[in-house]
Amino acid sequence: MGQGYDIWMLCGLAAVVVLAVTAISANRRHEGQRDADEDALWDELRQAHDLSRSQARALRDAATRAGLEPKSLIFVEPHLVQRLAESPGEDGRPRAAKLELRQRLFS
Amino acid sequence: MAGFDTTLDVLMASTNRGAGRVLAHVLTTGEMSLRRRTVERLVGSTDERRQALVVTHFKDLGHELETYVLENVGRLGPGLRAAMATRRPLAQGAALDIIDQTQDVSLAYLVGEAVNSSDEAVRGRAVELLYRWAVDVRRAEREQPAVALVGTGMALVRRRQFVLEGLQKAFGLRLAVESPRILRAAAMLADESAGWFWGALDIRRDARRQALVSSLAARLEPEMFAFVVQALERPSTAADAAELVDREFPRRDLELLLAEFGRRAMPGPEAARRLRSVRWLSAGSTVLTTLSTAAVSQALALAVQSGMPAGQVAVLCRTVATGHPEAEARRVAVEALAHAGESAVADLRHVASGASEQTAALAVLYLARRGKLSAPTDIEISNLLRDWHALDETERREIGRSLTLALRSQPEPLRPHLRRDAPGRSAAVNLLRLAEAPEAFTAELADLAADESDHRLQSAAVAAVAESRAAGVAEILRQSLRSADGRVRANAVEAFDRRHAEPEVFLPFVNDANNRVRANAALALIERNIPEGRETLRSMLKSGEAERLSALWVFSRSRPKGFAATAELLSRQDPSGLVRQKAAALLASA
Repeated sequence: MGQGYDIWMLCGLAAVVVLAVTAISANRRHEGQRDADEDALWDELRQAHDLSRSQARALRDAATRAGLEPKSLIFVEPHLVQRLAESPGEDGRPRAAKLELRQRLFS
Repeated sequence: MAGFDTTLDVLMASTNRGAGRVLAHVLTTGEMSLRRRTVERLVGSTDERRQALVVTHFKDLGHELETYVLENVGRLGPGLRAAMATRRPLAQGAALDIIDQTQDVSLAYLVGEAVNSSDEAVRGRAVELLYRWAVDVRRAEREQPAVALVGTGMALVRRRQFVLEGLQKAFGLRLAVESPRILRAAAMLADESAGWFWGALDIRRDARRQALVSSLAARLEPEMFAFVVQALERPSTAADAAELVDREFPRRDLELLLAEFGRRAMPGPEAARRLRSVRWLSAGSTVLTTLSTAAVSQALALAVQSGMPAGQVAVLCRTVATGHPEAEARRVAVEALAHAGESAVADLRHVASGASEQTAALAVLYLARRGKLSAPTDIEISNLLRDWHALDETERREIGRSLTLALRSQPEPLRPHLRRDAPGRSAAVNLLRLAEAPEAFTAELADLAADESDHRLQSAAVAAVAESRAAGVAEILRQSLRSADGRVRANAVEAFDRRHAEPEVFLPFVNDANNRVRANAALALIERNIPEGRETLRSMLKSGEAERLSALWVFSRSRPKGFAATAELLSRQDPSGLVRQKAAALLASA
């Protein structure tokens, strides 16, 4: 009898926790707040600037090298993008594409 | 900067929390051109969460952008509200910084919210700001005339309402009890519209009321006087208010308190009754003698309104009338004393004999009006003559008439003032004439009438002595006819005219060098139907302006046949404007 009671108690507690988490999550969604998923913001910015995959990758690499957290900060750091544009093309891509990136983000 | 604008569009529209961090990064460490663009966009935005970033990072923006934000504070309302609502001390402190620097009192409600901050420093700053604003508003109101509050003071009225709004929020908080400055600021500005304040004060056990009264008992600055005056009118607070004002105020503070009473309608009898025994209205108090005239006037009005016994009011008035350095204040006190009932006679006598210049004569005047001048003392007469110049002609006549019997029956108090060397001799002669009591002073007047050193006084003495029927007066007048001064001769001629002298007395003067003498002689001769009189008048009308004016005077007295035609001619054709004017006036009164 006592053991059965404990199980039901645990089940009830678990249900309450699940409900609370769901409610909080729903509330945050309702308020338009999403988790600090930097990929989501990155995607928003990438799409808004209509960046190609390679340009996005170059930017992301530059952000990683500069230790930016979140990486989206690269979109408001013109000197880092400038440096990226001036760097020799290790990946074999033409420098003009990077210069175009500088122009696109901070024109 | 289309590219960066696209970034900003995304960051501002995004619901991702990272967007806020990126924007904050630009505001705090971003390149200056990007930072400026971001600030401009955020300030122009209506998104309160985003605007709040500008508020929170205000101190990091740099001088130029700080100035920009301050200049655009009117658009920053949503951001300031959001920053305050975060309940984060950093954001609240920054919002207070902006409000403090712009001194925008329309945001006082936000300052009121900051009083509830979890951070002690923010709370302290908010309280300080509200208190400072309340003091500023009160001082501005105090310096503005009461009438202006209705018309031109609308801006001030709005400021008051804004600050009151902030104070209302703060006053409703539990910690208001521990913050005397909030209580005092609320009391400073509380008016009829502040029901939330007076409602709390109506409850005797309300902790805020107790804290406020206790704080005011310890210190009552002039900014609190409006509260005290209003509290006096409310049954629930009147006793406390009366206790608060029952203290020794410095002169300036008492003037301000009385000015506050003056800004409002006179307190009702119940409220005023509580002032009956305050220290500054007590019989022994001399502070009233140091106040401005307006304050004295208000204090005495309050004393009367308080229902204080007439004797006590009279003592107050007497104290001011004899001890105040300003004549106008003394006059106010004497006038109040004159209305202080029957018991004031003794005090009026005290003032008449003890007050300084310009005041004693006024007390004498009021004694005269009360019919209490039957036996003036030496000092009263001395003071009256000293202050004679301060009275107008009507007042002098009033005093003169009321002293007639006294001077005839008891001339001694005046006699010394008719000596040639007495400083008040001129006033004394004037008084004698108005009192029509020259007989008792014929000898003194005769002496003055013979004194060639002061022709103005001499002529007045001649006119006065002429009223006397005493023996020897005719001889004095005859001597005066030979005086070198025209005024003396003129008065002597006039005196002989009144004494019905023979025409021969006047004939020598129809050619006198002085036009007044000629005019008086002409008048006397016209009245006696002597042709020389009309001839003299005719000749005067053909002479200079002064002669023509004198001739008009004769016209006004004698109205000889045909005078109307001549006066009309003068009123239209005389080259002198003054003569035309006098002639017209004469015709109008004919």
